[in-house]
Amino acid sequence: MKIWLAIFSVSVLAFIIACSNGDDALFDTDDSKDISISAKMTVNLDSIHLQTKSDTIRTTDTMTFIAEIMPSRSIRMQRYYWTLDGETWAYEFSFRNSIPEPGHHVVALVLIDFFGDTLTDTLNVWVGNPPFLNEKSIIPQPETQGIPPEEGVSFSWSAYDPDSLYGLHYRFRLTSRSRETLLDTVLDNPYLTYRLPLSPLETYYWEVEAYNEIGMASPTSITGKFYTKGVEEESGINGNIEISGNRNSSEQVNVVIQFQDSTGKIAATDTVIGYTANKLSYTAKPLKAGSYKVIASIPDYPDYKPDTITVQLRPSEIYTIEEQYLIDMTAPIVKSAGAGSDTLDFADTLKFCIKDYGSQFESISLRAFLEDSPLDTDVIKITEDSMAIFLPSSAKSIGMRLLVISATDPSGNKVDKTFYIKPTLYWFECNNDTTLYTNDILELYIRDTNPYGFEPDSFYFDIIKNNPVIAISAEKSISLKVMYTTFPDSVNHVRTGLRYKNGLVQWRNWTVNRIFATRSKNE
Amino acid sequence: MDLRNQHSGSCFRKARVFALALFAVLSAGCLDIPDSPNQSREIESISVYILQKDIKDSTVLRVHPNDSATLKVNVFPRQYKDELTFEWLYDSRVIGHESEYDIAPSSPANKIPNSLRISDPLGSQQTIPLDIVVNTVPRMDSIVEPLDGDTLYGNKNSSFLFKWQATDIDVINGSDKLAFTLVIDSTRYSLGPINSVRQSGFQPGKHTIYVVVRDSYGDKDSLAPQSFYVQDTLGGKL
Repeated sequence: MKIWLAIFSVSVLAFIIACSNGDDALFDTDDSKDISISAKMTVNLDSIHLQTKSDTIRTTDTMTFIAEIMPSRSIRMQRYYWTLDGETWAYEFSFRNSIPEPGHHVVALVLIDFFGDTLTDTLNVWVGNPPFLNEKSIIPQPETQGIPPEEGVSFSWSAYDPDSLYGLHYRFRLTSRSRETLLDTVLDNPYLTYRLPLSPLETYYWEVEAYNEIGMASPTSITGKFYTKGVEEESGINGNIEISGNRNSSEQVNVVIQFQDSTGKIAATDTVIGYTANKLSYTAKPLKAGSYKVIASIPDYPDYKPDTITVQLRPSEIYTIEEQYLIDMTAPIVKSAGAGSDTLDFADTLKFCIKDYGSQFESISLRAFLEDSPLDTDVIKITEDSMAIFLPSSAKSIGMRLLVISATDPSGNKVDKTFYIKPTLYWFECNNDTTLYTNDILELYIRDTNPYGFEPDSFYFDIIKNNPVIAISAEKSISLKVMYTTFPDSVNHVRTGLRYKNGLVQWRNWTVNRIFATRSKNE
Repeated sequence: MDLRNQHSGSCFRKARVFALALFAVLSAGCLDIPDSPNQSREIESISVYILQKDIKDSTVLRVHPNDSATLKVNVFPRQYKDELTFEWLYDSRVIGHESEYDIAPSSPANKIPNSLRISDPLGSQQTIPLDIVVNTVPRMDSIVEPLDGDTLYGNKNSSFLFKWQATDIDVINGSDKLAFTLVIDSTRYSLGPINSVRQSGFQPGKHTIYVVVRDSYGDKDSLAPQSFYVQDTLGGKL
């Protein structure tokens, strides 16, 4: 019995040893892994947005809280949770939530690992609401006139802090019309007296922004403007002029502002440099109190129509003209450089003059189209104030061709000027320009020369003014003689044409010039 | 010997002992014997306050020099107050022995205590420093510009001068500061020490103005609201 018991014991021991890997059961430091955790937060849950350990947010903001666990979230652990100011808050690795209570809060990630060790990481969140500035309860009110420049000027404003947790401070700035900074400071109180002397008849701007202790700025700022008093009741005008144009081709212009008093006399004239497509500001001072017509113009560019506004200027006041507009509403002028006619003979080079009285020639945008097809820039040459177009021989046609020149000035005024290019390919021969003397007989002829074998149907003579066209049927050519009396004017415009049986018609224009006989006084 | 009777007698004694024990336990439970008294007689707090014109002031020990005032002591628990002795001191000199100290109008500085020594029956003492502020109430003298009923000529953008005067002897002595609140047509402007401003934005017609002056100890004064009129004149001077 004892033998059997010994054999059984040995077998069990052997089984245990065989089924267990003795080496694995031993602790090996190389196999150990450090566990670490990190808590982070972000406004948005995208990979781009910054993840932080501390932040300042509003009570209405929703934040995403993220737990990072190394080496991975799949490690064996007992539990994990988040706390807010020591109170259990959430049980997810990552979650979104807001903290509605203003103040400083500590958010902690707590993880208890498999062995019962506790790991924590904390986030600091400052929650608050930005202060609000009361834009109406301010001293001085916007557009205050007549502040004595030598007495100093006092400012007052008010702000409201919805949390009442944080103290407020204010950034105060005082600048002149030329944007020179007179004062840029931070204050704990909502009032200030600027005691340094100011310039008379000057415009000043002041601005206040409110911040709480956690750096939250007021959503709006107070911006005010005031004017200092003039010496001996002198007055002034702040003017703003908007000049039309293209910002890409803005150019310098001399703007003349005339101040015409109630008697029609020009009391003052100001010339200021401005730029097209820009706003121009000026100050005219000193002026006597009274009624003025303020006329703004650009003499160099008459396309800009002068703008006139009437103002009533009080003593010691700076009157602000919010806006005067100088607008060019006239398109450039396009003319043929030759005869000036819109109907042009075909030529290798056609020249055009382009004029604009609202900009420099270089600022004008020019394009050319043959019918609807734009011409390449390499066939267009622009020099000084003209434009040359080189027509290729392929542009020749049996019919009239339309050449459109499109010119746009910087103010966007556009003209599409259409020119007619006479046909250059003819399928018949006829008379050319002719001069007739008294008693001459003119032989009119039309001779078909079309290379395509079209069959002529009718030959046309449009020779007598206000009379119907003469149509004669023939096979290849026709001629007829007419007396000089057929052409009563010194210049007679004549048309001859040919209609083919396939319906095509071609016309040619020419001129009969009459030389009338003159009688001597003795006759 | 009757064993049966002996046994019966023994049972009877046991029952009697048990009954006595039960009675004792029940009696003890029903008697509601109080806990032993707390021997600690610690005074938890002592505070001093001022009563002037029936107004208590315990945050800032502030008295107005022209009115009488009484310094009083709060002791908690209050039943120990009668067992304590009080000595009002100016520097090291005792100027009062009661639990209250009356400050007469216009008292000199040496009649206003700057510490309170409290002693209990066992001879323990505690000294409380007192910093009693003798604060003069600021006085709003007048609104210099505009005077009551004045008519101001100008338009909506014309700046009008508003100027006022207030006095406080403490300010002259350098121990206090004044802050003004200008109220024009119910709109309040906190101006701190500024006592004149130029303001615009007035529609033609009647307007009201008053100024509140407040010192750094919270004492304040104001005059009755005044009126001024704005008349828009096209050629009027600004």
